[in-house]
Amino acid sequence: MASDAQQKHYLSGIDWFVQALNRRTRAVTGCGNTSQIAIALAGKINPADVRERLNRFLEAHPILAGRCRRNPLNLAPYWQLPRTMQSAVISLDVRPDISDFGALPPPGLAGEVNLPLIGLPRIAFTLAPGENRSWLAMRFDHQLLDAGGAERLLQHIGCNSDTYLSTGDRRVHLDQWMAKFRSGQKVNRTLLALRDTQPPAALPCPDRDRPIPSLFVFRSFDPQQCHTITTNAEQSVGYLMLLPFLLGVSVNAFHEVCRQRGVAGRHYVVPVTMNARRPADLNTVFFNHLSFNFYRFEATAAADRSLLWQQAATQMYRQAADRIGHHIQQAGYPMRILPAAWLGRLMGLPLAGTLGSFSFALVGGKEYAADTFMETPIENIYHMPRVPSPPGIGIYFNRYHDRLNMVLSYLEGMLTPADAESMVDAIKQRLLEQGGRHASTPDQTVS
Amino acid sequence: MMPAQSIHDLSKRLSHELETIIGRPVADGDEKRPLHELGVDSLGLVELLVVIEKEFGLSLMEAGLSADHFRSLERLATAIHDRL
Repeated sequence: MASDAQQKHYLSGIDWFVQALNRRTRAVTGCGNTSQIAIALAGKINPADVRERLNRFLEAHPILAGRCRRNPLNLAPYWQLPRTMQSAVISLDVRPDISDFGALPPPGLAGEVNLPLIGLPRIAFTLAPGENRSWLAMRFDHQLLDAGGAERLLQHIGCNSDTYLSTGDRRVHLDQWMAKFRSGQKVNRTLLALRDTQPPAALPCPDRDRPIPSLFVFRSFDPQQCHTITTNAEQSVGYLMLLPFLLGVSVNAFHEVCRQRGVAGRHYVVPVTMNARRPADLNTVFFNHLSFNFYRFEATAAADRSLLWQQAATQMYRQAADRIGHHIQQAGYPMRILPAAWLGRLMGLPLAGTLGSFSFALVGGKEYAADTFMETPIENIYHMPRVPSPPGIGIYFNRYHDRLNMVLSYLEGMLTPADAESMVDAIKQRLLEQGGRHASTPDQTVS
Repeated sequence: MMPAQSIHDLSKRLSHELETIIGRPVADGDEKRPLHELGVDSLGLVELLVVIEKEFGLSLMEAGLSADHFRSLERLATAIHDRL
């Protein structure tokens, strides 16, 4: 039997933030901080083969069935591995009723992502089998996996690799307190600079008299469209400036929805999740290796995409120069002393109870490098992230090979389905507009 | 005009910094390849620009560089050399 030390993997400060988000999300949605990745497969896949592969994988990686605990002496949280795996099985739900297959994830899969992960382990699968196209979705718990790690884990399963997946640096990190404290000061100053006399403009979250599901609207861009977007990003913002280009267009579209809804606010704050894996951890799968940058956009400028792009690029540069992502990671370590519930409340204080106007991320395209899953060709990989509330709404992009996908994730009731489709169509249209820089029309109606 | 060797040295220094950013070696000859082919994205490029600002005191974000200057580490090294 493994010793206690081998069964403990200490959580980082970012992991502890995620634990706090887990509680916040569960309180609003009835379901913790989980998300889903859906793979569009160009062909059939045998459920029995998938089931066997999953359970072999679980046997080799008991970390999937672990739990969060606290060291009673130093209060550092850790992930405890189970002492026995006898009853643990990765759930594979075969859903022949989900058959409305187009190129985008079928609506039936959205229902799956809103189901809580009951018991252990921390991932569960849904297979919608078809002849020429099948969908395989993995629901996963952010306590154990970030989006990049989830893709890597899927690839590992799909390629039937025998390599044991590393957890990376799992030391307790009870040292260098002065440096961590100074990091906390820098983070605090950054957040205070985002503040205003009013909270950031945000769509109201629905009433919480019942668990609220997340809904998703997808768009996918083919290789030619991706080339257009890359060219537009280069002309509008600069070489390789895809993230600020996407962010600026997203803020612009969100601003229009807020105006139409009469949502007042002088500014928007957008937390952007970043992959913060150090070079030595690039292939690390488990736990959260990410950090955040925070962007502020004035509402008076949000109708002008040129201004938004300029602001996004400038803020991106300044936060890289100030190493804000690094400092957020370091500042998180002392915060582990707080109970997750308290931390959840504390996190919202700088921005008057919210974590931003909407959440945003661009997931890389380097994680799932293979083009098959269990020898079945992959057409595309989509992300279905559930957004902690508030803000309860997020705009996310992910790349798979030469494709780019966009998903709007929002709590039911925050937007009408028609408004959600309009918003996504507006983003798509503006990303593909030819000619580079544009001055927006302030009163243009989203259609 | 500074000797061509200096541009070569700058190129090698940038390669070394880029290795830290992208987490893998930059092979000989890679300094002539476009940065996006080396796996550099928005964040990676910005990190590289930050390093350049700190090491050489040059704010390339404001230096009016075009996409052509970023076609390769070698061209970027030339842009830095021309502005030092």
